[in-house]
Formats: sequence, C-alpha cells, structure tokens
Amino acid sequence: MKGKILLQLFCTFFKIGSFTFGGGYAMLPLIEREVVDNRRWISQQDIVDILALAQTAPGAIAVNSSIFIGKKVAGVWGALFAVTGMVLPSFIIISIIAVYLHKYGDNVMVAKALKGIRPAVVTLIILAVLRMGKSAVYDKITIIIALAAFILLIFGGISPILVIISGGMVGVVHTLLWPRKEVKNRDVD
Amino acid sequence: MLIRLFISFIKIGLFSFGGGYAMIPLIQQEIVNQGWLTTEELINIISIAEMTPGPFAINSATYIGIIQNGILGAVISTVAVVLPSFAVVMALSTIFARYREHRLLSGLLYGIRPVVVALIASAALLIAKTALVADDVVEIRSIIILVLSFFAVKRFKVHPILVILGAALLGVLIY
Repeated sequence: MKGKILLQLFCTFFKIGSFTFGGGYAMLPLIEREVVDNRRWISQQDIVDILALAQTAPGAIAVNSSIFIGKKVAGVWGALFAVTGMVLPSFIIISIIAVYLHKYGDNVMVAKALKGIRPAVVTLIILAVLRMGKSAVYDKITIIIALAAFILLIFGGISPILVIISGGMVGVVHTLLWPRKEVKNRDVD
Repeated sequence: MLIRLFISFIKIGLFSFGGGYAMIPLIQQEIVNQGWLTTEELINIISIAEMTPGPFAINSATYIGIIQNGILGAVISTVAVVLPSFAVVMALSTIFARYREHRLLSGLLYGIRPVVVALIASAALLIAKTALVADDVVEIRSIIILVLSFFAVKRFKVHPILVILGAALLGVLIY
C-alpha cells in the first residue's frame, strides 16, 4: 500500500515538474489541480497553508511544495519520492542541453542567437523586479531596506548572504519595537 | 572539486529566498568569481531555465555541475541545492501550526522580501552590463532588443518563451 502511494507521489510530481515552465508561481495552479482535485491527498484549506509556508522556506517554491505535500501524504519517504519526481525532469533536460550547448556554443549562429537573447533576459529580470517590488516594498521601512540593500550589493561588495540576514534582522527588530502594528504578510508574487 | 561544488550549492540553496532570480548575485559570487563560469554562460543558463520546465535553482545547479564534473557533478550540485530546502521544510512542517502566524516569522519575512527585490535589481544591473555593453560601448542593437522585448511582455502579454525565441531570431539577423 505504502509502495503504491510513494510511486503515485513520484509520478504526480514528475508530471508537475515536466510542465512548470518559467518556474515558481506558474505551477501553483497545476499542483493544486493534481494534489487537491485529482488525487484528493490534501484539502483545499491545507493546500493554501502549505503553499504559503513553501514560500517562506529557502529554495524554489515548487521544490518546497513537493517536499511539504510528500511529507504530509507519506512521511519522510513520501517527501523524498515527491521531491525526486519534481527535480528529475529538469535534471534530464538540462543535462542534455548543457552537453550540446557546451559543444556548439562557439558556432557563429548559436553565438548570435545567444547574444540576441541576453537583452531579453535583462527585460525578464526587470519585470520580475517590478512585479515583486509591488508586493514586497510598500511602506517607508521596506523602501529603506530595499534601497540600502541595493546600494550595499552594488557598491559595498558585501556578500548577498549578509545582506539577507541583515534585512531579516531589521524586520524582526521592527516587529519587536512596534508589535501592535499590523505587519502585512502579503504573498510575494 | 565535488566537495567545493557541494558546499557552494548548499549555500546557494540555503539563502535563495523568493526563488529564482534572487539567487543570481549569490551564484555570481560563489560560481562566477571562482572561475567556474563566465557571466555570458550564466546568462545562457538563465535563458535555458526560462525555456525549460523546472525551477531556475535546479536548472542552474544541474548545468553548472555537469559542465564542471560530468553527470556526477550534476547529481552532487542538484542534491546540494535541494538539501537545505528539504531540511528546513521537514523542520517547519513539524512545527507548522504553531509558527505560521508567529510575528517573529512574519517580521523576518517583512525584512527579507525587500532584500529579495534588491537582489533581483542588482542581478538585472549585472546582467545588463554583460548583455548591453561590448568593448565599453553600449550596443544600440541590444538596446533595441531590450525595448522590444519589454513592450512585448508588458503591453502585449507575449509569453516569455516566445520572447526569448524571438530575441534569438533577431540576434541571428542583426548581429
């Protein structure tokens, strides 16, 4: 019985992992449909909590969600099978692409195509800044944190890890000093 | 080599809040500055990650691992980048109910989220330097692709995969 569930977890997340283009938030509806509607492993209420928590842990949201759901359905082994299913499609595809790109990256046509792609990647990242900025930077404190972090990262040569830790500490101190002030806990998008 | 890959990706996995692009500055520090990858190659990985299924974190770990040390390197890097998530999620799911609404946790996120935005913004700047500047001169053709792709996504809601394919085609035609 347990073996069957583990296999189902693996297959379900292999399917989800195969269709999550662009990563992250694009796949949350797919997870919901597979896990709540099709498999009925998790209730609608629980999936909201799980997805919210998956966003607070470090790492990719897709990966975190698979670990949470796997654990809830079938314990540690469930988590292991779910996360393996989630990661394997990317792993296989990227391994193949990496080998070929490394071989043909010097080809003139490929080099030109890659050069054309680069400015488009800048665009996609700028759009991500705008999108996330709206939900994460919305009052005086968060504006100051964002600006200070940006300056430290660009001009200070300070490790991103230190900047993240400092930001978290400022947030905690702020909450301790003004405990009654409602801290908005909006979802990052 | 394998051990260094493992340690670097444990760090990247542990501090990649908000997923995706926010980890670019950390990859720059851990991977590019070690000489394992050029910024051009990093941008290639980002484009490939956009066009293939799966999270960016996994894609980049697998890609860098396989180039550095073959299939074994890919396995080690991918496992390393997932491991911190696995440990944290395991711990969190046990104390799930008690801490979800805890104000210290929400305070922590309140402070980290603006940093994530700053991380992505600094990634944009870093990538722009390599993508738009050639021999200390800003490439007009690259700026044109930048502006066109921005409007394609923002105004006309073109899917990012199509934008990347279009940019590749333009690149072949104009460079």
